Parts: sequence; C-alpha cells; structure tokens
Amino acid sequence: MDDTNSADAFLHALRAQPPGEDLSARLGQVVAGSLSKGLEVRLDADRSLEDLAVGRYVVMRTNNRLFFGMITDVALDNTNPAFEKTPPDFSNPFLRQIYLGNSVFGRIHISPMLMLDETDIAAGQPVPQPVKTIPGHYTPVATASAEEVAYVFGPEGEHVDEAGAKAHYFHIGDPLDMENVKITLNLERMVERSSGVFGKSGTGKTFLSRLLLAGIIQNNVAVNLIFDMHNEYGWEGSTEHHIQRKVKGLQQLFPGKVAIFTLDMSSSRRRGANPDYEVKISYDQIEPEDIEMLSGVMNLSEAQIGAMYVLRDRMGKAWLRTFLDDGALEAYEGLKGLAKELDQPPQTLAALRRKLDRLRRFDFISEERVDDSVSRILDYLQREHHVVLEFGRHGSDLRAYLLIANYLTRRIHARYVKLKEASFADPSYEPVPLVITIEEAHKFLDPAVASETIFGTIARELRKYNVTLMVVDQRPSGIDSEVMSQIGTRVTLALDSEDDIRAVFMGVRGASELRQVLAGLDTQGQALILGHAVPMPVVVQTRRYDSEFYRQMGFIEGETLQERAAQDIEELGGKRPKRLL
Amino acid sequence: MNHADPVLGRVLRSSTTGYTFGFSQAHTQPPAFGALVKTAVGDSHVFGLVYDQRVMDDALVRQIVASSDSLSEERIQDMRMRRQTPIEISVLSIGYEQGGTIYQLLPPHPPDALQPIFACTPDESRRVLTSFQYFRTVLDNMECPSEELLVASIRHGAGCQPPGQAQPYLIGAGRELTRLLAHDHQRLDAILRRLADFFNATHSLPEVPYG
Repeated sequence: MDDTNSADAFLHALRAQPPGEDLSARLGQVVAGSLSKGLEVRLDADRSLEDLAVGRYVVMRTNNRLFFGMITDVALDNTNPAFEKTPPDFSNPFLRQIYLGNSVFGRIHISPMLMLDETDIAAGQPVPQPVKTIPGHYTPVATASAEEVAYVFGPEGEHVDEAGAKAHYFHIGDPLDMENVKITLNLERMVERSSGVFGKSGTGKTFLSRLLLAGIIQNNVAVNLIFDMHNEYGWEGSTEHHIQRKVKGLQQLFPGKVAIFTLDMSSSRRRGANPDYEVKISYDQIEPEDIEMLSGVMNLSEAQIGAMYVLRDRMGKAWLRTFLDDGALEAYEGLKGLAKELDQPPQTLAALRRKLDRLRRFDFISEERVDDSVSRILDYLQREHHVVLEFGRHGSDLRAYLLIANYLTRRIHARYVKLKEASFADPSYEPVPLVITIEEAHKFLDPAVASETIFGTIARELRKYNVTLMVVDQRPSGIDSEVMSQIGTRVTLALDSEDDIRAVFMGVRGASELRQVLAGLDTQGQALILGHAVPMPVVVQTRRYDSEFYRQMGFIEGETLQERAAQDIEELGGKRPKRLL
Repeated sequence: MNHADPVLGRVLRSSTTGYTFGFSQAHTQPPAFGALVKTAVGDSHVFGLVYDQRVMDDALVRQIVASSDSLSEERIQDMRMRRQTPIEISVLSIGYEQGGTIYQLLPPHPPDALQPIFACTPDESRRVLTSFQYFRTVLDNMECPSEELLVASIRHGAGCQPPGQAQPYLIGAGRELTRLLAHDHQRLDAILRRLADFFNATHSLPEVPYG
C-alpha cells in the first residue's frame, strides 16, 4: 500500500465524517464569516491551495438547504504566528506531512450567492433564492458538481414556465475547472435591460459580443441594430491571436435574418460583403441635437452649440447646408452680416463654421435629398431582420461614428416611443424589442453628455419603450455612473484600471470580493458575468467562436451544403449542377 | 488478564494519576521507558506508561561500595539479584478497560497496594494506543518528562502496528500533536523532530509533492 494513501486512509478513519459525504469533492469546512462579509473556510489537510482558483463554485450542504457560493479569495494561514517567524524544516518529509494542512494550511474566502431548498431539489424543482442566511459552523464545503451548477443556471434551450412565459437559456461558456457543465444566461432577461460588455483592449470583447448577439438572433429574443465601428459583426472578422484567422460574421451565420447596411459601400465590397443598403443622410436631415453630442470630439463650446440652435430656428431644416454654403451666406452679406442678424458673436460663428466644415469630408452626407435611412432600418427591424451598420473607412473617425449612431438612434427611438404609445390602444403596434449595440460607449455615455443624449435616455428608461442598449467598451469608468447603475447585465473581461473595475461593480453587492475574481481573469477567454441575466455572478471560460459554434447556430459548411444540395436535387429528380456556391 | 503472564512487580503506592511498583524479577529486564503496562482495579484493567525507574541503594550495597576497591563480575551480579530494595518503577495512568471498551481517561480508582503489574502484549498495546486522546494526559502531567514520554510511547505504539502501518500511525500522531500544541510551536517542534528521526528510520518515505 502506498504510504501516503495509508496515512490518509488512517486519518479518514480517525476523522468522523457525516455519513454519505462525498470526500472526493470536499474542500474543507466553514470556520467563520458573515452574510455581509462572506465565509471563511479552512481547507482540509489533503487539499492544495494551488488547485483552487477564485471564481470557482462551491456548495455547502446543511440539513435543509444547499448554499451556493463562489471562491473570491485564497490565503495562507497558520495556527500560530510563530510559524511565520521560525518556519519548520520542510526538507524533512515527515515534518512536511505533519505541518502541511494542519499547522499551516490554506484558507479560502467564499461569497455566498444563492440557496436552494433541499425539498425543492428532491422534488426536482430547485428554485434558486438569494441568500438571506449562512450555513453554520463547520458545514462541509465541496466543489459544486455539474448537476448542482445546472440547478442554478438552468439547462440550455427554450423553457416555458408555469405561467406560459418563454425563456431562452443560451450557453455562454463553461465554469472554471469544470468539464461538461454549461453556464447559460437568460436572454429574455438580458435584453429586458441594457447590458454591457467590458474589457481592456485585446481581451475579446468583440468575440463575446458577437456570441451574445448570435444567441439573441438564433433564439429570436429581440432584433439587433449594431453600429459596427470596425466592420467585425456583419461579415468576416479576424481573430486577435498572433496567427490571424477569419471568423464568420452574423450575416454568414444567419443568412436571411441579418442585413448589412453600410456607410462605405466600396469598403464593404472589398471585404467580400454584399450590403443590403447604403446609408446616406442629407445635410437637411441633420439637427443641432445630432451634432451636440459631438461637442467633445469636435471641441464645440457652449456658445457654439447655442449658435447651432439659433441657426436652425432662423434657417429651418436647411440650416447646416446654408451655413456651410458660401453662396447661400451671400444673402446675409457674409458671416458678419449673419452674426449681426442672429445677434451672435462673429468669432463664435466663424469658429463653428470652421468646425462644422469638417463634416464635408464625410461622403455619406449628401447635399441632395436622399432616401430616409431611418425608415429603411425600421422597416427591416419590424420585419425582425437584424441590421448591422458597417462604417467602412469611417470607423476610424470617431466623429462619423458618433454622428451616425446618434442620428439614427434618436430617430429610431422616437419612432419606437410612438409605436409603443400606439400599442396601448392597439397591441398590434407593439414594436419588436430592439437591442442597439454601440462600441466606444463611453463616448456616448460620458457624464458630461449622458444626461442629455439619447443613449443616456435609453439606458435610464430600461425597457419602457422596448429599446435597450448593449454597450461594448474598454473604459467603463468613462460611463456616467447613473447610466452604469442601469446596466442590467455586465459581462466583464479582464480589466487593469482600478477606476474601470470600480465602475463595473457599481451598485453590485459583494463588489469588494468580486474584485479579486476579476483581477484573476485570464487576459483572453475568461469573463465575469453578473447581473440581471444570471442568477449569481459567474466566471466562465467563454464558448469558442469556431466551426462547432457555427454548426450549433445552424450554419452549414460549404462542402456539407454542396452535398446536401446535390442530394436534394437528386431526390427531386434534377440534374447534378456543374458547380455550387 | 491471563494469570500465566509473568508478574513484573507489585504496587508500592498509587494515586489516581499513576502508581509506583517494585520491580522484583531477578532474571528479566525491567520494562522500558514508555512501555505500556497494566494492572487490575476491581473489574477493570488500568493501563499506564512507564516513565521512571529508580534504583534505590540499600545497606549492603553501600557497605560493599565502601569496602571494596575491586569487585568481581560474579559478585556484582550476585548483589544485583539479591538486593534488599526493589527497583521502583513509576507509571502514568492513561486509560482503562471496562466491559471490553477502552477509555483513554484517568481510572475511577487507583490500584491497591501489592496489586500485580503485567506487561501489555503488542496486540493490547495496539488496541490501547490506537487513538490519541491520552496525549493530553501526558502533556499536562508535570511530574513526568512529558515530551520524552510521549515520543517513547508513540514509538512504542508505532512498533505495535501491522506491517506498513507504522508510518501512517506516526503521521496521525504528529497531526494530533499539531492540534494539541498549536499554541506552543517550540514544544511541538521539539517532539516532532524526535519522532522524525524514528520515522526516517522505519523506511524511506515516498516524496509528497509540496503544496
């Protein structure tokens, strides 16, 4: 018999264990703690601290309840501080076996998250409830089994509750160090309120956002309008690994359900996309409110913003075209004459004109009357087609991104408000729930502008008008705190900045403990999800966005598609085609 | 108790915590320091650890030592066998057996004077020393050299274990000591270091991964 095993068997025989306790999963026992500050668990002598990572789930089973918690800190402890001053001789195998795990041992800190009633579990209907109490002294702590994790998160797929309400649980990833367990999030709850995907540059925000959007599309939970700044959502994107490879865009995964709109037709075509529509707006469609949000990036002063409104009041819809047109200004005897007539300082108008003149570089703004892009987008959305708006080369210009996103969102939101109000009288007007995805969200939701912009309004309204946001950002600390507190579901990849970490946990219970979890995330592929769509905070190894994912989304690879098409044709008695695309 | 067992001696004086017996066997060695011995008290057997041996002088020994410059080996052996005062052996009571159950507690009553004392067999020692509650009794006793006695007793207990179980026994005992002496790091270390030498001598231990 192996001596170590003999020792353990001998010690297990000495240690009185509760009958039926699974020793292989046991980690230790609760020794102290509180509901507000979490639980302290002393690890058993045969457990190594190195095998435990923050973010892992544990369970504590009492007579009546199953408590669910997450490891939020790991620590070294001892029974006597003298061990720190005079360490024992660990080169001696006997002394090492004696001291390790007994005099010096591991301690983990657990944040209790949920509790389930044992009678409900026995009846096969576990109902996770927020913790209102904690397990008693020396309650055994064990790693959560796959079955127990499934109790909490619910199995993947569509579920109908007793009231007949549907819920779609989408597999977003796997818990750390657990195989064959799927962590799901409730898509209905995710789109019910605004959500956020946060992470520093290069952590995979776009991949994760694309994953979430694919889930929404596949399960028809809402329609999406995606402001695709870097052309990564609609058609092919590329990985950020050192070996770059192409990954499929949403239109490729869901042909017929996703439309690509573009601001830069030539760029979209060069990348192989075949856009459904080219978005153009005319100068006459632009309102001062559309430009006001660009005050930061265009360096517009309060006086200049005020002047825009005066111009619009005096000149009407054509204010911008007239203001930027030398010929049209002649009617006012030049800029000075206009300033005099409007009772505005000439320097203010001159500076404003100089700054607004930069809009001329955007070839998606037309001098002539153009098609109403807003109606076109709404038309697609109401037919439950998802719209990805590619910015092409304009994506690198933040002014273009802000202008268009603000321009379209203001108008679409206004239409949604009308539709929603009409639906109170006639339910057939009920608009399809809409999720608007914006990148570089802190530019839209900066504390200086968030209270006045449409994005701040949408975030604060929750789902009042069936419109919510999915904000994708690397600097959550730049987002207005009031808006941040309204972000229902927060998916957070690795973050470095203390300010950003603090912002993500704003208004979250047990935030100080979860910070440790966030700090421990790998720089790629791991995310902390918390909020409305998950019953408790969870760290996941995110699902891979690969051919297996494509297949699960219903995508059929080229060769398989050819084989299936050929088979269908044969079955229909037709001729085999020479070439299939 | 099997009356065919050799009697090691008889009780000279006793108390609840222990007793002293006179070793009277002329042709055998007295029990070693840390050995387990037993005696009957009513319908129970009291077990104890040998912690002291005292060889007292007598008038004859003093006379011979004073008068003779050189002693023959034959005379020395003769004197040792015919000594007038017995070797006094002190025992610390650590438990008792009653109704077939062993209790690691002080006995309800001390043994009477002249009660015979017997050595425990390896099987009895294994049964009595399997659990470690008696450690506290030893550690708390101020009259015996408790650290040395505990090391000797643990070594004795390990030596009575079945093949392959000596090392697990030593590890179990060591871990119990870490619990009892959590507040006294130096005392704990002193005991464990003594045990470590014995442990290493049993046979080489497979490497246990650190951490």
